[in-house]
Amino acid sequence: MGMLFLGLLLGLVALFILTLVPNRLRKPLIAAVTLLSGCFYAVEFFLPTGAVVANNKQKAELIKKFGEQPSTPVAESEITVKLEPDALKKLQELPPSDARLVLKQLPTDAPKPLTADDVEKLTAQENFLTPRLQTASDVSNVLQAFAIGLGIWSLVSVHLRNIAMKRSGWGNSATLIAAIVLMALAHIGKEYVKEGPFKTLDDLLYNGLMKNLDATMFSIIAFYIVSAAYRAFRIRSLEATILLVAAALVMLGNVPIGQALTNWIPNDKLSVLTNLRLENIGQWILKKASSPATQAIDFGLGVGALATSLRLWLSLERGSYFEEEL
Amino acid sequence: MSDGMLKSIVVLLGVLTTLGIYSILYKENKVFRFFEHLYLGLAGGYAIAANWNDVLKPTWWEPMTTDPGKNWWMAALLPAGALFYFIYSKKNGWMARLIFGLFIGFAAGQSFQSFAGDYFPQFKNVATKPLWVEADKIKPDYPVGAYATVLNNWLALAILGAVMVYFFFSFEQKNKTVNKVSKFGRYAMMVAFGAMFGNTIMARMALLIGRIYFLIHAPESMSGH
Repeated sequence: MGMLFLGLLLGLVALFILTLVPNRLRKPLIAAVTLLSGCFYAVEFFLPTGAVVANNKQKAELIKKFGEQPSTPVAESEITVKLEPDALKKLQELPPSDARLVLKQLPTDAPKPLTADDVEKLTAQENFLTPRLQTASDVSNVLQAFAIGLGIWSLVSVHLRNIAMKRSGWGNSATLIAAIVLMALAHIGKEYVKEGPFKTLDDLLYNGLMKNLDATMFSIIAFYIVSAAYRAFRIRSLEATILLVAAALVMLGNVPIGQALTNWIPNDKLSVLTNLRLENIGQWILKKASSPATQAIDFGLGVGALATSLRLWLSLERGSYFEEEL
Repeated sequence: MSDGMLKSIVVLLGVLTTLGIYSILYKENKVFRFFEHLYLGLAGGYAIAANWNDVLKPTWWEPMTTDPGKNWWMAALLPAGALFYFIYSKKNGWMARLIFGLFIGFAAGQSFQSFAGDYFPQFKNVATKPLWVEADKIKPDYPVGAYATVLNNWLALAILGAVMVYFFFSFEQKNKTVNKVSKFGRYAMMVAFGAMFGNTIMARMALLIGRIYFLIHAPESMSGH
């Protein structure tokens, strides 16, 4: 426990030191933190990786011990360990020198034949930063989890004011706050006490209320989407017509009444005419015609995200948030 | 409370909430407002609980308390997380930007990985499809299949190229050929949007049917049949 207090103390000292940072150093400090945190993932991505045996350090030691192996494919006679067929296949796909290094690593006295997964573990594509990706991801997740208080406090403070000032609908605000408290207590409590009042309360609140509210809220969109469809499908141009026809074909291909329209076409896999059945046309539009367009849009989004990320990462972005005096 | 009774109450609550939310379809009313606030509260409470149960407890609290010798540094994450809350401080509000900067940096660094790991393989997948009929793929009983696949691959490549040309804004598209290709890209996108929209409508309808099915069968569920 002493060590934990030390960690906590170090964090608090760092916070205290930050409060002493002069105004002119604040922006450069924020830019430096942004740059360094981005560097971790960027450097891990750009650093060359290789098929390694457990890790690069181990590989270097093995090369020192056994020397570089000749580059002839691994023969089955060289394999002294029991391997599953898929593991053997995986091993033979590796560059010969790596395969031999893996063989040196495999335990010859293993009780069970080794699987492809075992070989995979020994030949992960990584550099020295790769094993730390999980730690970085955990730290990021934990810090994000601490941020939930911002949203909850923002919500609660608005409704507490409603209650305090007895504004219209303050009863609903009280309901909201009671629901937050009860749901959090029940769901966390159930994690520690599997049976009893917490479980009953969680059943009532989660299974009885929340799951149904969730499903109903999403299903209500069906009513609004119909009116949106009406507006979207009003034919005013060639583009709108194409959109209408594509949507209609996909929908008709998904419902029995639509499928019944082309039911007279033989459903024979070896007949070209089968492709004219509505369900097949709908599937073709979804899988063959729309997927390359979606991928091209995705690719454009990716390039845009990359460019924006670079600007943010290098603190080149301008605007009120970035130019505000600190 | 017996299991049967609890189940009946759960179903009854489900019916009440479903009808309460659907009351908005008639007009804005107090019943809907009540259930809307209830939903928001439950979702907030659930988010807090899920945050603890699924993230903080397994990733932070348990490793830190079970092996403090190895994970003592995790205790420093608490003050680091507290940086978010400096947003409420007039004097030290700038400190909140440090943690936001950290996440902006993380996201920027990860965008390299996601671009290479998500977008590029997808793009490569379409761009490297075979554009000719491989002899061994032609089945004697159905030769059209292989030709149709190749035709689809040509189309996929044409759509991919045309849509990308449409989104190429680096210079004004004055060339007639480029304009026509870009127009074809726009039409291809309309097909994609139409398909997406149709699919979304079907998915929402499926949800609605599910709720109506639940309401119709609620009495049976309550009586335990």
